[in-house]
Amino acid sequence: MKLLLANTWLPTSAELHLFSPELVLTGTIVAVLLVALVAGRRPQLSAMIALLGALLGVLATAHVARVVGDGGLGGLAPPGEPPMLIADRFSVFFKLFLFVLLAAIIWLWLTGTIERRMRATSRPVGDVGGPEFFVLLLTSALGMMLMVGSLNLLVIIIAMETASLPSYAIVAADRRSRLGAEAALKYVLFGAASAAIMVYGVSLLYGRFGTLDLGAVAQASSLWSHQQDAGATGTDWLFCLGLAALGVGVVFKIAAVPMHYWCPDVFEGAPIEITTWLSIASKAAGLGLLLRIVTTLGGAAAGGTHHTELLAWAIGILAAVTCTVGNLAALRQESVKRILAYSSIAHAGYMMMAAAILVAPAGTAANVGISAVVAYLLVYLLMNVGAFGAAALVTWHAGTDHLSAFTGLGRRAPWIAVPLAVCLFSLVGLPPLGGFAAKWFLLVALGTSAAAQPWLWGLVVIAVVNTAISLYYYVRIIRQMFLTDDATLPRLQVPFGGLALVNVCAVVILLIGTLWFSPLGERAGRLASNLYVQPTPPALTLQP
Amino acid sequence: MEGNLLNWIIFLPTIAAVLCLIVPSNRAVKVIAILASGVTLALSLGLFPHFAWWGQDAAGIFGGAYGQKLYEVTKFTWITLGEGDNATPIQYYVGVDGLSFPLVILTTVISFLAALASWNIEHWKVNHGVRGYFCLFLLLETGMLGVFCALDFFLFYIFWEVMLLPMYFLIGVWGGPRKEYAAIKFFIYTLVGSVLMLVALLAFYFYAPVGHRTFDLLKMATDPEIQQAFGSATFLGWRFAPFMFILLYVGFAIKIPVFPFHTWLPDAHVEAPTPISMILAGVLLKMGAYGLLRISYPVLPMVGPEAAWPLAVLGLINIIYGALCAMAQTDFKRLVAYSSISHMGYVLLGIAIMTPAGLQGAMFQVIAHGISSPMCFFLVGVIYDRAHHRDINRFGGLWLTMPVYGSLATVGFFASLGLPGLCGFIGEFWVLIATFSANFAWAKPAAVLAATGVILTAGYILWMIQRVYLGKQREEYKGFPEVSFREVAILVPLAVLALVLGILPEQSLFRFMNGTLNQITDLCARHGDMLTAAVGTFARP
Amino acid sequence: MTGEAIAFYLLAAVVTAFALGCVLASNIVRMALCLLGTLGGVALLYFLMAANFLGAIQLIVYAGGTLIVIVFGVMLTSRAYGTKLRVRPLEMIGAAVVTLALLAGLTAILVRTAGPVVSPSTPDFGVAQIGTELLSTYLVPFEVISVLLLAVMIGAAYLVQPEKK
Repeated sequence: MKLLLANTWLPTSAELHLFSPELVLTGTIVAVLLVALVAGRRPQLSAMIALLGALLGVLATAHVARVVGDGGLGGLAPPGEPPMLIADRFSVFFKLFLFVLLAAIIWLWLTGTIERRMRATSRPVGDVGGPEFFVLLLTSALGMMLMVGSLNLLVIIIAMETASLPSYAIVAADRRSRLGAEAALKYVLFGAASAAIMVYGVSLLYGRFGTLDLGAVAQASSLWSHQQDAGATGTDWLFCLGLAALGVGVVFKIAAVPMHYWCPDVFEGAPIEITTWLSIASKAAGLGLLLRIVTTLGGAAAGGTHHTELLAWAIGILAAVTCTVGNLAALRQESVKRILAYSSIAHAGYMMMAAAILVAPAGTAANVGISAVVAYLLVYLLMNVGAFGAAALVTWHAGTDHLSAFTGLGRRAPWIAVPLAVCLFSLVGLPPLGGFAAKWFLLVALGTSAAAQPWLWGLVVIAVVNTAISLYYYVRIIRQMFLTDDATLPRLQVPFGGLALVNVCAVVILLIGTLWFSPLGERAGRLASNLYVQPTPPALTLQP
Repeated sequence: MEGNLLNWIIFLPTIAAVLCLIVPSNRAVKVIAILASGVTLALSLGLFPHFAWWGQDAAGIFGGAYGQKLYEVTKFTWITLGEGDNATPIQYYVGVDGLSFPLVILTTVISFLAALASWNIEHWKVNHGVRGYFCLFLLLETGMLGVFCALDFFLFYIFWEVMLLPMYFLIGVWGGPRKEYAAIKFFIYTLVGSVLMLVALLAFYFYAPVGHRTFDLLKMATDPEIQQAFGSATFLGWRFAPFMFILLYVGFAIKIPVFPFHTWLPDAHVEAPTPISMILAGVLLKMGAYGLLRISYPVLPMVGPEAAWPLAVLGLINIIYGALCAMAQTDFKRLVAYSSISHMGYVLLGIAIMTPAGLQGAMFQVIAHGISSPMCFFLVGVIYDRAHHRDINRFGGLWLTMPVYGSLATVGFFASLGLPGLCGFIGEFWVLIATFSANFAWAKPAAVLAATGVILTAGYILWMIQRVYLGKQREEYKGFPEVSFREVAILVPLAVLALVLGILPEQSLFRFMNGTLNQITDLCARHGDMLTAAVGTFARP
Repeated sequence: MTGEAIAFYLLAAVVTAFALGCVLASNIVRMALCLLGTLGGVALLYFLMAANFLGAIQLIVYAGGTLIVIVFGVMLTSRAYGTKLRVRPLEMIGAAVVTLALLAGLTAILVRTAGPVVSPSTPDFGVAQIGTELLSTYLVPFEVISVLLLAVMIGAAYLVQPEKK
């Protein structure tokens, strides 16, 4: 017995330091629960604690960012083992991103409760809240943070489930809403199926390479590729199948084609705070994971192998199809939530294009794709919080998110209509707004890498054509707000907190498109510059 | 202010737009807008001394070769792309040369007059607030001026897009009955064009050899290594240069607009309020031609000879199809809109043949049309304000009711028709002569066909004048008031300009731009054997 | 062929038969029985391969706990208890085509793949070993799962809570 205990291992405090954001989040979860136990069910109190936790998390993340410095660090595994969790600027970025988003979502929720109290009607706009709601929200945030901070396939699976399972429940948080229940059911079924496929894929990868560490898998696969005879087919189909099955789970999180069917229904059925949360956080985490996988696999095979090329093609095609499908499907929607849902699918497609950059040509910054996605996500956060936030303010008031609820908003509530228009034009990608800056860095990343993969120019063309298509449905909302009016409709009374949120988003978007254009690119480049790489690859024994 | 003249010209309207949001009363908004556009006009006249023709030869004013001599240049790094040795600046880089100078003046003049024409906005059928209108109007002016002054492709693209949003709202909110349709159509057409331009923008950058990468339009055109690379590269399996030329062409052709991308124009012009129609016809259409001359031909001169006959054919289609459509219209404004399509055909034809005379004619036509068509649109607006319809067949004898208006209308429509002595004549004539003497097998038939366009134009304009202004005075229009002082103040400057340009083309326009235009032809001629022989045929009689 | 291999294939055939039965049966009780057979058979396969702990877990968690919960859940909630589930022929054909294609693809890939590139670390699956691993190498996933379980429990309780009037 003594011998066994000697084999156990506990992380040092220096190692735990690196993961203080996760610990802060876990602590917040516990705090929300305990306070509810002592003080009873007081939703606003729970929200305040959660908000405090998110802000503390920002501080903790800033601290980690300083510690991480120039090189990514791995940790939380016994000495000699590959790390379970890693801390580099890329994962720090996602933690910061998720904390800020959490704070915005909770702020939006608080605004919503004020709105409901202000009007004191029992309109079924969703009585969501309570300590459970925030525990679930925070747990799903924890899962998303872990998704981007690990190279261990087991941790990745568990992280994805931690992100997903609470999400299923909060989609149905409004228990009176039939639409919400239906959405949650669809979400669960799709999620369970994709999770099963993903686990199957991971088991294949383990069977093939005998390791759960993605870095080791990358080493082994590229080693295997290089050992192929020139005459052999050169494709390790089992590896590809395992990777594809793993990809199904990731693609589900991103809501990219062909795993996008859940997205519009869930977004429509969920309370609008949760829609905002899922549309940004779930995609960001999925994309972060995708980039992590892709750069790990591509990074090990320097110069590009047969497999990285296959992978790049697969992602490129998926990305192109995703943004085209998203944009085309959005054209016919009448519900603003659904329009924004399809728009988020399309934007996931644009961002996935950057993941198709596996081989950076000589002489360029290594992770151009990552820096492009980081820049895009930052702007995407602002655009979607702004757009969904404005839509939420209107929806709470009108009781519906149909386009007609936005009629004459330019006159009835200019302080919602103008920022919403800014966010929508930014989503199109028109200069001088932040959305253009994001798209610009994405296209530049594609162009940079096109020296090594000329077909990336095809993605550039598809992306810009999609931009033109997307204009139509975004402008439909703008048209409804500014070009049509009904004099009988009264002016909108909206809580100040909500107005502040959407207007801050709009102003920052405008600033990014003009004065902060260059800083955005530089910051994003720096965030992508110190990815964690394994210092010494584990010794591999090749079998015939 | 010294050295910043151009920046003031570009951004003064923006500053005024912000002011418009702050000031309390609608009247103050209007005054600010008119003052701002007036001051911008005055400032832009300050560019004249650079191009003063007295005491200097062309080389002294325009420099030895394309891109060597620019005025009022501001250049600083805005965004840095790439890192370390590969870092390339995206610049805020503006300046004027002989190509942009006349267009800047045209823009400030038309904007000022259009602002004057918006004075009675409270009496429009659709009146959604004065503040928003003038704010967007001024932003639009900044966008237009920026496009003409930008010498960095990225900056050009930004201004090009910036112009889109105000235009969408100006048509969509303050437009006629089908405003929503017209506005979205305009928006989508233009955006499709501009995103294709975005691909070209990126490709120009990345296809230049490392170390030479730039967004500087002048450097792209004059750096031999970049030109070498553009000439030999492939893009997605196609030859690079023609592919890029087509991408850019679509973007510019939508703006000009060239058949078959022209369908947005009649809708947008007809639905837009009068001042916006003036700006659309007077300035926005010119951006397409300007883009071809500033970007397509200088950067991709190797495509010029190949593109000559397709562009010439499209130009001919524009001339004749536009004229025939105009003839079939009963809506007064639609007629003027189609006449714009027809007139812009000459511009495309003149550019396509790539001779000095062709370019000169094309640019002259650009400016001439920029004066005559806003005048025509305003003339239409004047009666629409009184009659509240635009059906040509229901008018008649307006000259008798409003003699001053009738006389000014004749000047405007005759300028559009191309009557010798007025501005429309010189441009069309130059293009026709240049086409006739160009060194292409198809040049002479093309010139003959284009000449039939002149006849058709005369046909529809004279017929329209007969139906609207001549004939018996109608009962229902007897009470119409004569044109007001404000309306005269808008029409007379345009009429005077039309007259001056028609009588003194050399002194009023050619002198200011020929130097740069000849440099562009020289630049292109170096790349096309076929063109070498044709260069200067008209210049050496 | 060794006796072990014969036993494996026999058992695998039985498991497959149960699995097919579960999918094809139209009576819900028979389906549940077949599922029990499948899950139990898989546990036996684990035992056969000397993965005793995994086999025991399979029996306790799946064949025991999960299945019983499922059956109870179905019986308590489904008003259609006792009725037969109808599957349209077209759906049947579609499912069959997809399944067979998947089977063929997987078989082809497995046949063409020589074997693991890297041999797994020492296959010692003793309970003590697993416990040590959970508290050393796999400490992080272990802790994360505990948070997850807490959240899932709360979520489930939240969803079944009666609505406030």
